[in-house]
Amino acid sequence: MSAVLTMSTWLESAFVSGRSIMQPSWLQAFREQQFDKFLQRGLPTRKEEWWKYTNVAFLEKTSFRLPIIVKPKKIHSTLDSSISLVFINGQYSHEMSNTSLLPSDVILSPLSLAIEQHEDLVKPYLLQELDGKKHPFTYLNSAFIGEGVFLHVPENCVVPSPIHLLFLNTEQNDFITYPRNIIVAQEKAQVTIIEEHTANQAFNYFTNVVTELHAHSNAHLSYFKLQNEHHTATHIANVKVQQQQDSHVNTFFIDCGSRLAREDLTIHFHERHAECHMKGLYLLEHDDQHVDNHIFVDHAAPHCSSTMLYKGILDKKSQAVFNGKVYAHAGAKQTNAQQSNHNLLLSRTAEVNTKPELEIYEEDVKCVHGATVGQLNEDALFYLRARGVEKEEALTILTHAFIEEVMHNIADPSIRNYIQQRVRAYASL
Amino acid sequence: MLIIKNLHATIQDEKQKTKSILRGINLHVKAGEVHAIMGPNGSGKSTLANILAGREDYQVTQGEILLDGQNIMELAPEARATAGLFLAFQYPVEIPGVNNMYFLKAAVNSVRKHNQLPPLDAMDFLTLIKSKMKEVGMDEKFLSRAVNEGFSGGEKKRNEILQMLMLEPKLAILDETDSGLDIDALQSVAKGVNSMRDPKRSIVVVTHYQRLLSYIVPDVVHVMVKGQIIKSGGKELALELEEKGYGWLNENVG
Repeated sequence: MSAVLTMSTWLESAFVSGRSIMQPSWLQAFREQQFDKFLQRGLPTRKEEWWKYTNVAFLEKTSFRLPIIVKPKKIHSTLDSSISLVFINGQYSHEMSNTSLLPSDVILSPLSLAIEQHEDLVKPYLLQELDGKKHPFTYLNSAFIGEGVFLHVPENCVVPSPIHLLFLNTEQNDFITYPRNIIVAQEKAQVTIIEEHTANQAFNYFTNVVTELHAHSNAHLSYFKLQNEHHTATHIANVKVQQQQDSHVNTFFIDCGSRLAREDLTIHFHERHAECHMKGLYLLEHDDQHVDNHIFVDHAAPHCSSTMLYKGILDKKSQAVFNGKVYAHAGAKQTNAQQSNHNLLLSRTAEVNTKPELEIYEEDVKCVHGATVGQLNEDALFYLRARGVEKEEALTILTHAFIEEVMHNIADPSIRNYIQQRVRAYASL
Repeated sequence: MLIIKNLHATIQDEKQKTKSILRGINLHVKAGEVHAIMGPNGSGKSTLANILAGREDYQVTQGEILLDGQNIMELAPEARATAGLFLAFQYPVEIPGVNNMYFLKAAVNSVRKHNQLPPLDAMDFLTLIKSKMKEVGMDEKFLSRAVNEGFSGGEKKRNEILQMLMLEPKLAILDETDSGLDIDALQSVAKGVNSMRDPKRSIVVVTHYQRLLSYIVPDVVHVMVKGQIIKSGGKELALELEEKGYGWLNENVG
């Protein structure tokens, strides 16, 4: 029997063996610097306010390998998308991707290729300092930057259909992937992105993903994050959104997979009149399932507005954490911020920790927040059944009713359909 | 149609004490008949209606319920509904997020499925429901609203009768359908119920007051006190109760 490796030991050996001579020297230097920062920072602990309800200490005792490359016969996604990039165990699969419908001036490529072909364009985005202190997994992601997506939508360009980024984990166990996605919508550009993480015959793996979204002035960007990893997996994600003047961003997170999932979302309003609408849905069904959404909205400019609507349904002994924080700087006049989080508990053993927070240093703001935790309305269930509706169907109807508010305004039929299927699968358990 | 034999039921109160609510109910409602069950508050009328519909908050300790010869005691609420039993609720539940038309369609098609009929398509359903809404004096705008959400008391009760007209049950139980209704609503509810009178259908009207029975004239009137039916008679019994109240009957109960 081999001795248990500590995290830094297996990371160190993986880091050394994972180094590639193909990379430019600036990237090598960046990775080494980020790796050192992670080792100095260490894993977050529950003593830290930002990590209070999510325990990642088990990672210290778990050893993950870098994945091997496999070629699955078919991919499993219920999304029907015409533009897609597919990653199998973190590696780009050219054969399974399809970019033929992409407007010719849009750059959509695996990150490694983008570094090769558009080094000057990619480099400044990649070297931007992220919030590794708060979210040390981001240091780790930068240190191991493997593969991911670089998307650049030029000025005035409207991408006609959603771009589907599929991360499929398959036919392997105990591995770790570090996808890094950089998405840039230039002035007046419009684009919808669906980032989906899913699995087929893969267990106990770990996805550590970082996605950066840049919405330049007047850009319209919609970002859907579908996390449907295997229920033994760990999924830790950091999504950073940078918004310039008059930009308009929608985000939608749906979390139904993983044993432990942590979703960090940060919105930075750098210039005035930017808007961001955040929605989320988590559907938990396993005893030890834990999903944590941490959102930080940085109102650093005046006349910006943000709305946040997250809903969750929890069964068995699952746990959810919601922390949504709005920070309005002095001078961020006419800030408009709304936050709400509503939870439906289907069992007596499920648990929710919800905390909408406001930190305001400006008087001229309008901020509201609210959170609820409740149970299924037994009277409504009986009412439906007394009209002949089967119990299962009645539960499905009531579950749909609970999340209807979140589903509202999702225009793309394939995304709507995907979410409805997930909800249906969940409700029919 | 409906035979209830020696039905006993209890409920756990807030202090987890067992309280006896029904204490040996016997009732025989034949096809084509309208029965009224009257009685003072707390006599167990609504409990009986809810137990018939399959509510699980009560423990049935003894007795039998037969619908059309079939023992329904072990059936789930939805199975009782598809077998032809309908309860018009005293307090119809508001269900935000569930569209009223969607709900009505799900209900109608569940019953049709049980009767081995194909589901109604959208057009046929709409034609049918619009004609039924006219009968109960309901505005079509209520179709696009959430089930009972923000409905007035009268609108909720009309919605119950609308569901009854759509589902065409064998046995309809109306639980205090007259409570909270103004005279116009009362008349249109009664009109809806009377249109359902049929030699093959039975109706049980549970009510506190005689008022509704002037519009829905019963064949048999039962008086329920403290979980037992202590007197049965013709429609004139209702008038007698209206005049004398329930007090004079209490002497007969042990």
